[in-house]
Amino acid sequence: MAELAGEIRGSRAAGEPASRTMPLSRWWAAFRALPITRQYVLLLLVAVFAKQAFQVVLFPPFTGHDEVAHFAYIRTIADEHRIPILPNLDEWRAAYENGQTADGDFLPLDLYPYNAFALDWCCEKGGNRGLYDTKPAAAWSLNELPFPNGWQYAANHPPLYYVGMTPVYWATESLSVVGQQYALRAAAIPFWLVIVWLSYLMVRNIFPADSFLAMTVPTFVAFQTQLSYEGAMVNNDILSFALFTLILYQLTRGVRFGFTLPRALGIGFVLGLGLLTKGTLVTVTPLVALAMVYRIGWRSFREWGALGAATAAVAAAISAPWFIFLYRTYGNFDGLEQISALQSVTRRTYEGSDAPTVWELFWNWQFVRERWWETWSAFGWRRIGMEDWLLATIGIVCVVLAVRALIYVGQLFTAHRQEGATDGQHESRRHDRFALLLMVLTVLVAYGAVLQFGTLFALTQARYYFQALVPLAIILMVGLRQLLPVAWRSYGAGGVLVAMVALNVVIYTQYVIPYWYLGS
Amino acid sequence: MTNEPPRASPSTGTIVWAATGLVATALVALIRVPTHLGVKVVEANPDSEATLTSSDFRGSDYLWRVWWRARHDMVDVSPSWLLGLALLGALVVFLIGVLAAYRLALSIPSSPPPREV
Repeated sequence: MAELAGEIRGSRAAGEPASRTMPLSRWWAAFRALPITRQYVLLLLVAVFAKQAFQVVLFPPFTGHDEVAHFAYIRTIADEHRIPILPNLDEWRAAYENGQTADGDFLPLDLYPYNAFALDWCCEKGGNRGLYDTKPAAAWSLNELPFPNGWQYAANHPPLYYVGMTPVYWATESLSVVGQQYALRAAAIPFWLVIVWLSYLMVRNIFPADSFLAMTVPTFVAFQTQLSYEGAMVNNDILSFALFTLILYQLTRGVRFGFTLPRALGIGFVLGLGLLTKGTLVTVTPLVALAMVYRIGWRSFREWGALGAATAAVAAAISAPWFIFLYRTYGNFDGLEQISALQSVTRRTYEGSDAPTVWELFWNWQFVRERWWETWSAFGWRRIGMEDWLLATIGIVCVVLAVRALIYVGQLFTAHRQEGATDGQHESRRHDRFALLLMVLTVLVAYGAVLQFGTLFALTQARYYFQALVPLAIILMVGLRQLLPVAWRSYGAGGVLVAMVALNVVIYTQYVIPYWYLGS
Repeated sequence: MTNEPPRASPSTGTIVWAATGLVATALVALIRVPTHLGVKVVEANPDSEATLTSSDFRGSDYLWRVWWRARHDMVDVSPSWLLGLALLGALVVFLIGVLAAYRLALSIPSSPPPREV
């Protein structure tokens, strides 16, 4: 049957006894007994592991997004067993003018050689007659008002990632700072492999019969240049992406098989961990609510209300200590007010000018271009770009695929019930199309969050929506599947792999490696 | 009774797989690609004493040599051949994984969409 197409197995039947003499042959026999799509994804994970290991050493130390700040956060937890805090601008100024020291964490001096890869850590080498080449200036000045220099700007991030990385930090204390940083980068790889694997499982939840999507979606995710860059970096993003994807996996499973109390509690548990990792995880909450209400039925208020409350209660119980800490420390639940005050010296906020609205940013072509550039490029502390023609080519391909996928979603919602379909089959198809719609909504919510952040800070970044790249990959690959004739889909699946590998080779060969290593 | 769609011919898949490998090897070995150092270098402006114009410093090199030249500069490891060996190992693992996955991708049955609309 066509429904079994995705479960085509390898050359050995599952029940066939494997050799007992050689472990390697047993492994091989077990591997060959797996469905072909699973064999494919396992091979993909092997290749991706090697690629990520290479990326760990390819990028010079501390050149990833905010690696200096994230490394310093881990060190604060490892050495001082506490969470770093943002300085209060008013208190810091009062202390500074009296020659005293105020509360608040600053980036450690031994990382100052990497100050070019941190926000607001003055000063550039060679500037100021070399006065600050080896030690940072104590303060900045704007309109004759002092601002602190080199403050720990990652301090308002929740602590889970940093706590998780602390054992790695302790285990590598005999190494140099650079060596520790490489070890911490390598520790991100398992999270990345989990994301690729979850993308495969999500496809199996939504399209259990489709081999093409089961191969192409993980491939797109595995080789998406910026997302995989985060998978070899010291940054809490990678754990937040993994937890966000795990929640989406649970939602697609819930939409397919129904929401039960254990599933609701499981989602709440992961959501709680997510909120202990990065604040952006809050964007998944409307998706959780929507999926539950849809699957249970909006009329069954008591049932979805109870399950939703169970999810929220678990998530709140797990993450509450962090939010209590934030409120007691900063008087709010995100520390952004303090960040905004501290960053006004470097004009990263709209202080003194009108902030754009979400709608204005939505229609701002330059804003869109910059986010697209950051989605595929902006390696090495946003220094390494790509040529416009390459970005435009990727963009046009993605737009064509997305439009075709959206047409397909529309067709699914307007199609009549298939003749001869049982109630069970009809229900299953209804749930599948909702799961696909959920992917579209996830992308929209994530981009909306970037737009909203952009109304507060001039330096919004594409990576704030990277948690939605797995849903985006599903949408794009559905579009490709619909464009390809059935007989070409195996070549299409191979073509996606070749195209994504080639894209990485082109970007690294033409831009990344020359920038770091061929300039001297 | 079965409505399973036709499989891709194994021989065609093998030919496509081998051809892709050969083309990729040829490209890596023989093609010179433009490289962008991303460095803004100041260029002399003939119309002015000052040097005001700047541009991205570009070059070109064989694809394989871009990677080969960079190998010793990445991490300070002693002895340096150890890093080269590790990178070679990563490359071999990567190629085995990708080539085997590519072969599998070319061999899947061409499944129809789960719901034709």
